[in-house]
Amino acid sequence: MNIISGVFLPDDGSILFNDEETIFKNPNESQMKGIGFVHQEISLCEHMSVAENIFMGRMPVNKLGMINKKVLIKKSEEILKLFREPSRPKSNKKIGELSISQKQIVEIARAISLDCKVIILDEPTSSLTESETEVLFEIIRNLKDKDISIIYISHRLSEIFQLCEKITIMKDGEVIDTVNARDVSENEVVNKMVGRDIKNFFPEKTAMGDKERKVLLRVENLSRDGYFKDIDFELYQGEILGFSGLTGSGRSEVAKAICGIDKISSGSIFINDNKVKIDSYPKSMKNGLVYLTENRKEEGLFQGLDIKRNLTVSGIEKVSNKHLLLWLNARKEISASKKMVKDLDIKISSINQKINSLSGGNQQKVIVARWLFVDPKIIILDEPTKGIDVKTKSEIYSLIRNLADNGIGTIIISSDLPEIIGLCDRIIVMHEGIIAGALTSEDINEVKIVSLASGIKEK
Amino acid sequence: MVENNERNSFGKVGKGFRSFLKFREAMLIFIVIGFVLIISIMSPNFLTADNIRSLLVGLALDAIMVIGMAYAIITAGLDLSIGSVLALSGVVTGKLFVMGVNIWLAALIGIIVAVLCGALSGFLIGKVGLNSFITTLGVSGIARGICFVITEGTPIPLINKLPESFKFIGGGKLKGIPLIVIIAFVILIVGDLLLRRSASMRKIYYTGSNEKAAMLSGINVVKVKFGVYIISALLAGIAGVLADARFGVATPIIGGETAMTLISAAVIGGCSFSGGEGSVFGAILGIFLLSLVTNALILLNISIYWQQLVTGIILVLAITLDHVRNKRMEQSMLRLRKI
Repeated sequence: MNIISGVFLPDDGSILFNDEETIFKNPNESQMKGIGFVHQEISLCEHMSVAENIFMGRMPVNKLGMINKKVLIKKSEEILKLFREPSRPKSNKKIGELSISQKQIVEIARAISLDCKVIILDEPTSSLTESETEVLFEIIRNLKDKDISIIYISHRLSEIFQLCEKITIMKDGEVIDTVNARDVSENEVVNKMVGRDIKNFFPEKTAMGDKERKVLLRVENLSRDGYFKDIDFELYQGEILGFSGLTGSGRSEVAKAICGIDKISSGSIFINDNKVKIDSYPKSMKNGLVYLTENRKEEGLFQGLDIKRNLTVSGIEKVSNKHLLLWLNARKEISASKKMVKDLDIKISSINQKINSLSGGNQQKVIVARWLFVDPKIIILDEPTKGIDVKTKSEIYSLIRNLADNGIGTIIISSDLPEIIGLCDRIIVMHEGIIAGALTSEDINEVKIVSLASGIKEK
Repeated sequence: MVENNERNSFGKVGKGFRSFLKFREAMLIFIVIGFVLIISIMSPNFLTADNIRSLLVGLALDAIMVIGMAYAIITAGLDLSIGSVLALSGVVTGKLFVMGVNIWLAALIGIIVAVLCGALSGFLIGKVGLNSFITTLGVSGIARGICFVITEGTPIPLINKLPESFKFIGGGKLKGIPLIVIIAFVILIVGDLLLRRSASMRKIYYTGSNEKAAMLSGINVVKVKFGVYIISALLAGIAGVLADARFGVATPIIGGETAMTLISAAVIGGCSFSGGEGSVFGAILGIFLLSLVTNALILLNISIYWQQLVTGIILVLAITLDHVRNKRMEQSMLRLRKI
């Protein structure tokens, strides 16, 4: 896709656009020809207004070469009219004040303003909530009616089937197949993506005997002003507890507060029935409570550093000599890293390789390994499979189940409903900073989660 | 592919050596050696004991201080105050001494004052979260200002009153090697090894590479930054005292261009401004290269006014090379990822 839009140059082959052979040497050229690319990572100027972002580089100017604000606003309002309230952003708002889905709208608006015939969307929903996704889908369908072709790249199969007419499946840099969406089932597509049959995408849930189970973590009346209020829940040993709800409902905030990353206003936390005071993240780690961030790139990876260093960062004391100024034991560090890489089946060529050279899935595995390396008792995984290929996804699922079976308490925060339903033993649904409800085994289904998450009271 | 990936950075050098030296450091060693060869051919005076000695004495103080600059740059920061802190430590020591305080006690107080400057920078940058450029620029102004206030702008002569033992530090020799060079050498070894092998110092890399991720990996980023600026100021303080001992005078204007020299050296030595990359060893090689250039200009009878020009060119070349190389690596990584 980067080649089509001119970000990279092709080594070989040609592109036919409107039956005309073309090679785009840079993104500008492809835009001029009418191909818009909305990247997975939003690339807008945070401090500038919506209108300025839409017409970035093509500002309407007056005779003196000054920006003509009136025309700018008018033109951008015209484009924004295509989108419906309430998600439609105002054209004079700063990008920094918008939600992620609104930012995405701005990206799409930019593509439309270029009179694009083809719009490429790369994982547009990876940071959207369910309802925002719905809005986006409607926009996409609208575009389709306006004779704009869409290339939609996604890991989420359900979305593909909801939206697309034709599916091209790629794996390891090759096109595996192109099919009509009507002719195939989700499973067939999965099989093609993985190259083998996945019998159980989600691992078998372990039978729960709640009563005999030990409560590992208990949270009472936890509040953080402005973010969440009166959070009460328990996590049992060996349980996978899901946290569902819309983005912004306070799920990640609760997790970060429990781990001492954010401050809490009131409430108490018990681990193994002992009240603990966690006011910093290192303290939380000492208590065996760790948090895996949802922003892998921004808050997880040490981009320029090698795999080894990315792996041992949190448990660095474990590979160093405690008596000698924490002198690192290089041999221990290497053998420990190699062991983790093997245990988690991380695909690398050398532990001295830089982390950026790995695929998203393997990067995520390294970060999971980082936390397993410190032998946690409780592990909170925030969107653990965001932007990860299907095969690694299923591997991470079985890994998580494995951990749970070994007595580790796991909390999964996820916006991916099939994931949270397929994986978790119990699900807590949050809505606007409070717990809207908890669902256990047979109660768990999509409808219930969505209605709790959107604040619809059950009758 | 395993072989390929490791080899393309380094040819056929032995594996242990290869892991110790990074590409940049190896390249610099070759350049330095090449430079030495060329100068020694062009000027017979280069490879003489006297010239080597004065070259080493000349770079000793910068070499001590570049450690702190390297640490700061690796945390994605910067310490512009090093030169002024150097001056402050020297001036405080000198002033106290002429006021009648024992020179060793005076030196200790001078170093403590320097560390206080570092603590101020560290507090503002680490705890308050200010930008390191602006903060150390401010602290630099404060330190320099105090220097001028104390001395009223004129250097304090010490040479006649200094005890022999103290002068020996600055001018003495052990088996023909200047003591000041030995001191610098020891500090450098410690500074390099610590950064390479101590778990606490490793945190400098993590903090610089990705501060948020470091925080979410359980690293106390505030402490790391605080520590870095303290170390940097401590080294500048030591260098200030050594300067007193060497020159026999406490000058308020000493170190005016030190910060810029150190930044150039560190960057030439492979410290990346975006953090997470670099080493003390590389930074020292940088200092070496810059000193060699100056030395060569003097020996070859070229006007000293060329020095800055040449230094500038080297710096620009170094970062350009770096950029090109990074781009290439990125591309090969992308290719790797696909396979």
